[in-house]
Amino acid sequence: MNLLLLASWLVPLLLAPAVIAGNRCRWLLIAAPLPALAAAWLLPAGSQLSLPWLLLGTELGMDGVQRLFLTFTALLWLAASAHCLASDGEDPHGGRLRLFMTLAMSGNIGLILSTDMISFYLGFALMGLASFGLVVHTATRAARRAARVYLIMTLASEFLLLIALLLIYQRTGLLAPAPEQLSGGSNLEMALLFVSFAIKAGLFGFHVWLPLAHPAAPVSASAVLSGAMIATALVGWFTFLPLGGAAQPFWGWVFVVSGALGATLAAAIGLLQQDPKVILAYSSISKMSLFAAAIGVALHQPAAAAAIMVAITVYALVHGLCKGALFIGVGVIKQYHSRALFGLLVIPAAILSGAPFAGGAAAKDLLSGALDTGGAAATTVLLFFGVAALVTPMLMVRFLWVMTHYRGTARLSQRVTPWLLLILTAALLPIALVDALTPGSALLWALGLALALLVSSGRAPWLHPLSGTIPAGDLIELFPQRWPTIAARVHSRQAAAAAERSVRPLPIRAWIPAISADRAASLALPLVLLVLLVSLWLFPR
Amino acid sequence: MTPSVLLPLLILASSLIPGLIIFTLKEERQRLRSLLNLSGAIVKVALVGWLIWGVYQEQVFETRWALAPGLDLVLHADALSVLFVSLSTLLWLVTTIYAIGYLQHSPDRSRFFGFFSLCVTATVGLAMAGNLFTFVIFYELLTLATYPLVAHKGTPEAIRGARLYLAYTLAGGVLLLVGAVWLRTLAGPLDFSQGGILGDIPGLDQDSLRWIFLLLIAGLGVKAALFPLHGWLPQAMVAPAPVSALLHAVAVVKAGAFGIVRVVYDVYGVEFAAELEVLTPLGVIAAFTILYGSVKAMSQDQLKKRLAYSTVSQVSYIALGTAILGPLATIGGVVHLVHQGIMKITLFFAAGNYAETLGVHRVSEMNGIGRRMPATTLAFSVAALGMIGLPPVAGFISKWYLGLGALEAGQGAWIIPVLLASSVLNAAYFMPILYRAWFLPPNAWPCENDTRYAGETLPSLQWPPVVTASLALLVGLFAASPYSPLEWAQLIASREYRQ
Repeated sequence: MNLLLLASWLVPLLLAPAVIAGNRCRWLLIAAPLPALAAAWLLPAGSQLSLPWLLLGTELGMDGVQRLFLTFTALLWLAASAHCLASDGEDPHGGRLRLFMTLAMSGNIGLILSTDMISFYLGFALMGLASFGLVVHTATRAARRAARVYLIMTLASEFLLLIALLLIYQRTGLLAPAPEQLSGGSNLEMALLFVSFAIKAGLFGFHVWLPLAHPAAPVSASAVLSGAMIATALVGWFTFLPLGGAAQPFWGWVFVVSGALGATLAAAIGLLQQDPKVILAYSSISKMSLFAAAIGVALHQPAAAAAIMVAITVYALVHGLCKGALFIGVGVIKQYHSRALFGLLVIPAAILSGAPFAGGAAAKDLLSGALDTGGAAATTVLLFFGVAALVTPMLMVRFLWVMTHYRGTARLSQRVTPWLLLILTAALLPIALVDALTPGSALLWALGLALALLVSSGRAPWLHPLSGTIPAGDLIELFPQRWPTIAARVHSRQAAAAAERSVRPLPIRAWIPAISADRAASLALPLVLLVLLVSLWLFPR
Repeated sequence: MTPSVLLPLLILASSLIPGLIIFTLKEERQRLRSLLNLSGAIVKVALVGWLIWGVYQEQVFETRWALAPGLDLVLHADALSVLFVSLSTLLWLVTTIYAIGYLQHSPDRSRFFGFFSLCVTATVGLAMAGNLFTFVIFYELLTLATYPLVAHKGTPEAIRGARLYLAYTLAGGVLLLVGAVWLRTLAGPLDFSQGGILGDIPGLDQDSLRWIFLLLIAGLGVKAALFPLHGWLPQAMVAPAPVSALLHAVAVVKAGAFGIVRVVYDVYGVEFAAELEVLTPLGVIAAFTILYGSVKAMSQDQLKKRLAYSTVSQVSYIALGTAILGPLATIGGVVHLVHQGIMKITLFFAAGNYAETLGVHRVSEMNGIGRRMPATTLAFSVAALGMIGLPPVAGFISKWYLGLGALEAGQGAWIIPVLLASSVLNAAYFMPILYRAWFLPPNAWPCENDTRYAGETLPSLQWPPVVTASLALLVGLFAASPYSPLEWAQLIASREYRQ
């Protein structure tokens, strides 16, 4: 049975060649996440599988937290795959999209199930690189730019993570160190772990790729990018941070401050956006930042770490399923001509915003309860949870309001079934996981809702000019826009000069000082050597 | 003669004899020539299989032939030679198949395949050389056997590249020879031995030993393309693709790197070399070469030139691993000897396929080539990702052990950033190629020879890169399995350290 753990890794990979091959095998995409789903449901927590001959010694395993991650990741991939199959009929490059979906899926599921660092890194790298194919898929100008920014930041995250893993391995001598063995890492190690996963999570400040990349991808890909893949950063932090070991006050504060401020800022910027997918992207940044802040509390309070990790995971599950349903919903509404669909879109938005007695509110209360340990860090985070409870409904109303401008032309068909099932899952699964449904921060939620409705119904015209003032990707607009122009200028100058020789120069030349002194340098060393030798013979000591 | 004496000779003969016969063949005897080539290569694979099995059982294979008193020609197979011999043998087989397809319609094939066989004979000979004297002889033979291959096309550019190659490598050979002779007069005849020999000889002048080290490394560094001795390599890429593949992956460049490993470990002994304080300068030069090669590679539009500079960079990983004291770094350096070979030969095969099938020589012409030649481009992509050091391709394993070795030796503070920068640079010059190949719409190809082939190209051109790319994937994926290159490297490392 434990071979299911390996099958969850392998089946998406093995299906990869099949899903590109034309129309007969395309439906196999939907089979790819099934082994993972089966593993999540059938295997008991604590299952393990050792494959010492694979890579440098692979250890697969699934504890309770990993099982939750696996559940919603597999469900999201299932829904996204089904939606992808239902909607990519006219896409000439549909095969390529399906291929990269299977690859990213394999990495995403694989890293959740990996307990040793090498296979974790393999999954992380595979997922990161394959997602490039998802982001760039539409090949528009925006998609290409987004993909470039995404690739650079993803590679940076992967390379930094590798160094962190090297340091951990060198210190512990273990490929799968237990949490208590992780304690005592250097600041460098902590910093590398923080930054590399912060990039993946889209933590505010490291997020610039996210508002570009998630909207650029096709909706089924955005759903998994924003619902499942950024959550792998949480898996990474859970696996490699010394959570439950010795307290780490300094790094706890780093997580708390960057997370709490980031959550607020991201929500504020999200409110000013006009593209619904960008609004959703900022909402993801905001949520991931909150989770990071909660991890900060776990670093302060080792005793509470286990409970906090479980609560974060449940919240991530709610967020993942709802965010997936919202992204797919954008695609569905843009495609079909039906008012009823809009009503359905409200459901995941309401759950995510923390509507009383729904999954979101329950998950939030669960996390707040786990965080409520006293101490300055916990108090700070809880304060910002309150802010988030006010702002998230506003963000969701803004999203829905923007969505009212879209209406498709196609007639409603059964192709929306995967989406409906995903909404159903997002509404019901969290209820099954929590003990009791709670009102959450009902008062703040209602206040946020009322404020947002007031603004969007036109009662606060002074806010409208602000809308659209901050471009998607915010910080990145501050510097890189100039780069292409410089590159383009140099490039065009070089191109003009090179036109006669019919040589196309690469823009990269602009950055590299022309090193053409190869041969001179090559001659230098033998000459120096010769002179030294001669002097040695002429002047013996 | 017992098998243990005969086997090294047989391994040499399995490529030498076909090579010599091929020289006498008429140009149009294509079948016979291919038969000789392939049977020689297959016999060699079988013999090397025997050798691997024997060395694994700790059998001793040695052939000794006294030329003069105190001057022996020695062929001796230890774990390190077996690693290099099996790499050359396997890749020779694949490259032979590739070359037969590649040169199907070109002139002077008897000359080409004759020298091709000699080149491999020399490589295997220097891999099995049991002392510095034997090593130098095969090292020079390799230089001479490769010159006609680089010049093969006979164009002015090819002749110029080949001349430059000859000038560099002969000069390097002289330095190596001077170093070897000096060492011989100082310390007497020395067989390579695991753990080194010089440390055991009392009363050697340390300064002289340092000078000799410099001479030896400079001589070897020419072939290993260490900065600033690398100038010939990018020019030598005018050679036909199979030659470049062999040159970069197994024969010439690798011979230099292998020589550095031999000198540091089996002549000086890595611990004694560290005592002499000659390792750090070697490490610094290697690290600089790693970065320099990558930076240069970024600005090359010609695909083969970009790959050549990438070789400059990647081969220095081996020298870097050698220069760091500690078994983990040794593993990283030695295993990269194999890993770099498999990955780089794949890249050159693919570059050859593009040039031969579509006339594509430049990176800027590669838009959409993945759709036209998917198998080749897939192989290229796997190898390129491996060069960047992404798992599960072989290059990741090398990088992991080099990084661990640097940390273990307490030199992580400067070597890890070098490895990081190298990964970034590798990504910067490989990723744009992959992007063009897979995601941009195709242009018209410069010169498509489409009509000749049923598939994307000739089967004998298409399969070699696929095979080597799979190999690069497999040795990374099953690195912890028995008989993997990593396991051999661990075996070697465990025998090179005395403590």
